[in-house]
Amino acid sequence: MKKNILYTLALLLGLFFINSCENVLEEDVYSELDPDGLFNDIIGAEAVLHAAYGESQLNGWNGKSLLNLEEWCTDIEWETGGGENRTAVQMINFTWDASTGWITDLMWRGPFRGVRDANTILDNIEESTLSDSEKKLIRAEARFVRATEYYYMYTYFGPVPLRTSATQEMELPRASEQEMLTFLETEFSEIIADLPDPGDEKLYGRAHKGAATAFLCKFYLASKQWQKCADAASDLINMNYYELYPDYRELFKVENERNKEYIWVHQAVVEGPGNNYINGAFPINFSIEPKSGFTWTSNMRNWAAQYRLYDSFYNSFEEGDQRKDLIISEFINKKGETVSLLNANNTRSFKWWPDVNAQGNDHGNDIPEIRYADILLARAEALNELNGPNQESIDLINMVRNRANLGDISVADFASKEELRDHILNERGWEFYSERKRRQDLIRHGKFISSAHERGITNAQDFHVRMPIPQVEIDANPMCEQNPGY
Amino acid sequence: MKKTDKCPCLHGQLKKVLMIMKLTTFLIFVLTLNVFAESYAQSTKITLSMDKATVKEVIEQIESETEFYFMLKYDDHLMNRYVDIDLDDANIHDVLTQLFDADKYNYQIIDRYIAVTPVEEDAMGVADQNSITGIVTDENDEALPGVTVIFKGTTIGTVTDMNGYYQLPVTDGKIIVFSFVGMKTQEISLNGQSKIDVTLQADAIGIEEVVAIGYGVVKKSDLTGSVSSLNRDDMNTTGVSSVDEMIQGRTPGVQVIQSSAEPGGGMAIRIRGAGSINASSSPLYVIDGLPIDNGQITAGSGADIPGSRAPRNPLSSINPADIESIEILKDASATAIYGARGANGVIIVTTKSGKDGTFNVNYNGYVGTQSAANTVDLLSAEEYMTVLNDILDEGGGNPEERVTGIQGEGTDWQDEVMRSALIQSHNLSFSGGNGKTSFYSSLNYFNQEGIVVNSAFKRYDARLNLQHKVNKFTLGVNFTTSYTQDEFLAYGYAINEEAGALYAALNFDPTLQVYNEDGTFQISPYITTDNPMALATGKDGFGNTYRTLGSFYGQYEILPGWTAKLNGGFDVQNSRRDSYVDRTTKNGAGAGGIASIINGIKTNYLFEGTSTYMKDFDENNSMTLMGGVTYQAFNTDRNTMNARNFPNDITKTWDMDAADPTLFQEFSNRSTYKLLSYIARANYNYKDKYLFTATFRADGSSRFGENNKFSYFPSLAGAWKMHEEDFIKELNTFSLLKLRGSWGITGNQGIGNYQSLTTFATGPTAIMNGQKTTTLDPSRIGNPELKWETTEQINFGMDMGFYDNRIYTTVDYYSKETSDMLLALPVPSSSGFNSVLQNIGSIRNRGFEFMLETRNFVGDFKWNTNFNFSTIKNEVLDLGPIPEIIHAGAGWTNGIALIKEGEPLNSFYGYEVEGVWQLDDDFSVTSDPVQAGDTKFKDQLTVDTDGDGVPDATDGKINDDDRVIIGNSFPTFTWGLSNNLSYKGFALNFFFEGVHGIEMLNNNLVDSYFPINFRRNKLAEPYLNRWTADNPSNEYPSFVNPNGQGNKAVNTTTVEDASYIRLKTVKLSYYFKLKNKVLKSANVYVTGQNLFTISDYSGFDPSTNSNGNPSLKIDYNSYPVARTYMIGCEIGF
Repeated sequence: MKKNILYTLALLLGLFFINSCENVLEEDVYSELDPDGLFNDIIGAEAVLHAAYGESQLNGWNGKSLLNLEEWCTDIEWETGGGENRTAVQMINFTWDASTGWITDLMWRGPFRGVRDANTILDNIEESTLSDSEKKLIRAEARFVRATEYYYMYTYFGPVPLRTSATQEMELPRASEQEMLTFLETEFSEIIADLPDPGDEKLYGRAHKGAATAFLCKFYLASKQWQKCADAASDLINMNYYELYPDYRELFKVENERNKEYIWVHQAVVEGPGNNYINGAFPINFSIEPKSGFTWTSNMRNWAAQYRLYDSFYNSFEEGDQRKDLIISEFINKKGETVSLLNANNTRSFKWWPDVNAQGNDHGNDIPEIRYADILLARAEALNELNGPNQESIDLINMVRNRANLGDISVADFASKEELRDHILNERGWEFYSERKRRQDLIRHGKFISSAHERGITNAQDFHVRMPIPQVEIDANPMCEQNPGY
Repeated sequence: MKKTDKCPCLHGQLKKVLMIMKLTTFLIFVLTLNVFAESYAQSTKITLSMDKATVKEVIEQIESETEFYFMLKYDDHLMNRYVDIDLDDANIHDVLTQLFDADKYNYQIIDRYIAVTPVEEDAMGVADQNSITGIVTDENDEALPGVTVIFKGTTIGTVTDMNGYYQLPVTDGKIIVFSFVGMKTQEISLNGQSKIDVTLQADAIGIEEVVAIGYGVVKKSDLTGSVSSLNRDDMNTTGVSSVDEMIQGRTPGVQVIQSSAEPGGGMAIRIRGAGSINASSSPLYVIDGLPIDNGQITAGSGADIPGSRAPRNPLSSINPADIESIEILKDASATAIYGARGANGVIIVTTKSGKDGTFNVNYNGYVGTQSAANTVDLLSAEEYMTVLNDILDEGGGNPEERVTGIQGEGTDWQDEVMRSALIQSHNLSFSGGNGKTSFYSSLNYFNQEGIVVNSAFKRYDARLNLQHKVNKFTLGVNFTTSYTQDEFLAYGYAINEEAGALYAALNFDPTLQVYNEDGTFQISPYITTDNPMALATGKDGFGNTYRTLGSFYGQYEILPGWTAKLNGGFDVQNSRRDSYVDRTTKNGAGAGGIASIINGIKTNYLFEGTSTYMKDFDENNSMTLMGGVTYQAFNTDRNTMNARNFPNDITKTWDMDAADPTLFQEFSNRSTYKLLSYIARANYNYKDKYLFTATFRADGSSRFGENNKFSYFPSLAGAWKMHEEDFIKELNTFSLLKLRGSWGITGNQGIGNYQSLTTFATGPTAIMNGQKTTTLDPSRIGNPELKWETTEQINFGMDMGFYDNRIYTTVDYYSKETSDMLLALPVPSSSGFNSVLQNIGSIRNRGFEFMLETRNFVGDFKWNTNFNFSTIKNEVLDLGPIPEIIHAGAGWTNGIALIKEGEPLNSFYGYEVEGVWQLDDDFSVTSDPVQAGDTKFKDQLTVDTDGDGVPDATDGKINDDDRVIIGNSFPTFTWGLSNNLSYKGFALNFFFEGVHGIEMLNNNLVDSYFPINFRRNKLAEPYLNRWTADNPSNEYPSFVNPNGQGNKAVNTTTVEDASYIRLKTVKLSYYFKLKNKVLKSANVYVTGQNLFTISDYSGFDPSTNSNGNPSLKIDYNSYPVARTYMIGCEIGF
């Protein structure tokens, strides 16, 4: 009996030891996926591709924050109240630095995650068992997302480390200006052929020839490659696909999105991520917009943060400009009193017209990254830079003006290239306020710093035209040099 | 002259008993001897058949088959007598009758003692002329049988008989030693006396008690490592809901910090500091031999319910009343047996067991009332109107935001959301044993309402602990099952429209009343934060958690001293959390109701085999060896569903399909990990003076990288009982003097799953075609080299006793260095990743721990004092290539903490406040846009003008470079002081706790200094005394343009001194003297908790830390701490 028990014990212990070979400690992966074979399946490959697109979509909290980052430092918008104010004062006063969180997160880390996902696809797609046509399309789209992210970063920081594979070494120096220019030009140009025509993309939101051409055009504009910019713009115009939406005041409403003016958009949905801008545009105690009768409802939010437009901008519009109609200058508060917003740098952009189906912070208005109007004005600007005031530039500008119910301008109105250039800048301001274009436009026109000085921001210096490389990158990547001045 | 063996049987058996029982239980047992003397003897049946066996063999056989042990003088004649025994199911009396000739020997059975004395000696009348005689009694003058009486340094001696009588031959011996388990050993020098009566005292400190050390027990006096042992008298037992609360403040080196004071709220424990940056720094809990996973069962708080950083307390499902003792293993010698989980210390919880020969029914219960110990001093409605309008007049805010009137008297929102709340607990236990089977079972009901409305915690718990012995087998079960109900208040770190009730109570407009005329909640047009009462009542959360925890063991004695044990255990937790945001709230109204159901199942099972071998080689050498293998697997399954837009608020979470189907959200997740380990320990005792312990564990964890699955954790310790040395004895100073030293290596595997692998997980949200779509992206940079953190610890300790241990003190010094620290090494974020987990860097914790126990008075009036004191110094030694890490946020505050070499972990990093800019200040020294009345931050020396590498000038502006270290969350020292006074039936206990030299970021103060918008309520003190032209305060700014200097939230004003001294508990009890047969014991008590606190801290409470992480104290919207008064009673039947 005793022996039997002993044997049983020994056996049990023995079993234990035998059972304890190494593979007992193999890590079982349940809720995450093993990368093996992921790219052999079109659904898997597209899931990673969608992640890349997801990173590049500037919507939700990030979308409105990035939008503000590029407007608070300009002559259009400023901000009071809310926790955002802590970032806003830095942007308004030109005291942002390499530790400013939003710059790090939204301008650097976000785009580079998109680059990472795109590179991951490009690194793996060749070896996958997908068909050649599937590979070709996915490859072109991954390059598209990667190039758009680099384009954004180029406009924020200038050249950045150019990662073209996820397996590159961690520490990488910044590309030279020329490398950056060549890379962006090559990428956008090369993929156009492999992308579908606009409207033929598999899902609305995936890349097409129109988007790639438009980005190429915008990139040439930002880098002042005027002829190439004009050519790219005309390529796009010649697609004969895009057109201006007839009514500017209706263009941005949620029910009118997916129009032929929007070339590339950041989609927004009420279940989030949506368009968050209007939450900060509602004045304190806002109830009714008197002209339209729009009434705030409890499914919406009215943030402590207040996005306010400068009176100088509000007053700069020409008489009759319908674009001004999307800026409200008075409202009816919850007590039924009419409150004026004028003369206190306090008018509000209602460009992202409230979505009645909003869910809390999230309104459904898609945010266009590139509109057809942008391309028209880009060609107009490029041709002016190349040739001075010319009829084609004027015609292009008039297309945009007419849509806003403004009369024509003529070549004779502009004595010099500079005069037309200044007009184009104003025209762009009126056309694109609250669309994250102003900072870049001011910089291109050499007025980013001088305009700040005019607002009394003495702190603004020439180096501020480029954002600082985030300190976390400098710390972790000694080869990455800071922009001068920071 | 009779040769007396040192009672070999007794010696061996005593050890066995010691292993099972602790001093306290033993004493109770002795005191109840008379009542229950016969029960074990009656219930124990013996079957024995031996031919031609000596009496000695028979005795040994009986001792090994039963729990009886014999106390008798060694007598060759008796022992070597041959007998034939043949008994079947006989009782002990039959055995004894056959063994001992009634004419020559008397025997008496006292429970399991069988005292045998020769008849002539028992007469006790006539003493031999050449002998020394006497009677040994206890403090109550009761005779003590079985006391070993021996000439010191010899084997000559005897044991006392039933009457406590002993007789010793006169020899050359100089000193007689009287020893008895549970009593202090007493030595009497011979000076020619022939009669020596001795009264043995109960061992004051209990150094003979047995403490659990993991996979075994050891006598406290034989400890070589640093182990704090708490029995019920040393713990907080009333008004506590969980195990961790029971030890708060009670033992040095153990910091117990309340993350949330809500009922069932989380606690964070740090033993000897914070040993890690990214891995867990929480200790391992072992409950009745089962290491548990103390992680959260469910994740998240529900859609639109603010998330809390102070998770619920999983330990609150264990009934504190069932706990017999808690051992805290602190140094590496003690914890290395838990290897890769031992680095943060180990807390061993032992639940109660039944006592043989008794049947006890006990009821204890209390009921009490709680109210907030402190509220935050905010502006009243009047003050709010005056101060805000004054600021408007001075140019702050917007004209639209003027305060135009007060509705009625306004509202004190803290008053509104708080209440006085009931707490009650009822515990009924049954315990007993019949010698073979012992049991303890209990039922518990605990109900604590929160002092903020809509928060509560209820527990129903049942336990059965069972042990059964059959010959050499011991089988046991410890089994508990509980059902806990939570009612969750919506509160946490979320802000503005996402915020919870407590944030709202501090921020909401005091000029408004709670309701509109139509009975709906008022909201402020000026801020997005909802009405506090709407949030408190309209964001409803309920939790139901079921937990069953069991361990089963079987032990077999293969040979005397050699046992094998199989141990299995499991812990199953199943939790469901429901939340519903109804239409009385802003968000609920906007969304048409928001519902969430969160489920979690967390299980782990354990299977282990150990074997222990004990051997006394001779009088001077004894050894215990233990070895084994253990396997434990952990599993967590979770899912969450969210829905919104319901037809009405009636069905809440019980009809999710009524919601808008396009807005459903579902998430699920599963993770597992496994541990396979081999353990060994050797204890060696030489001359009972020199003690050595060596342990070893080989641990394999599935969490570690492919190349590093296994690691090895050794430890060594030694102790020298100096009081056993003659040269110490001669000093006549020490009743105890023990030196201890230990070294060992432990690990920390608390890094989460999959960290060594590169996998793809659900990526960012992407909208395609107007709909969200599935995305996958790489989760991390996998690191196949990843392994546990290694912690090397040395410990030196000294235990001292004076005046027969009436003063007992322990001092420990430790140095604990974690290397191969699991650090999220920042990588260039241009890689798309922010960091990769690597084994780099090191951190060190050093400190002194001091404990003093004194018995100030021991007569009718008894006064005992326990004092503990500890210091800690934490230092980050190495961060590899990383210069510094600045991290952590709360609300809109970010970059709160700095991790840097040479500094304590998570030092607060911010600006020094010099004062307030005054009208006549020289503003030319700064280029910042400041005006009189703004906060003046110190412009640090940041410019190096002479190129010597040392900054020697200021740059005229306040920016990131001007941040300096302004405090940290590690207390310089902490202490606890407990006093127990008793007289006649009265007993008074009071317990103070002190924490000194610690800072905390008061983020609610940040919100007052840097308000998110104007029309919020603010802390009264700074606003009422703010700078104005007429009141040129240098302490409080004008708040006209509070955010004008940007985000400088972390500064010497908002990082506050969180030191405090607190009268934590006072308890007055009365014990009835009972003579009746029905009640065995009864006492009643009144007790109060958190009665007063001395602190400069301006928030709710300096002791809590809503940030959850003890190494970084941040107070934000914390749940207020309660002051509690309770009455209760304990009745034994």
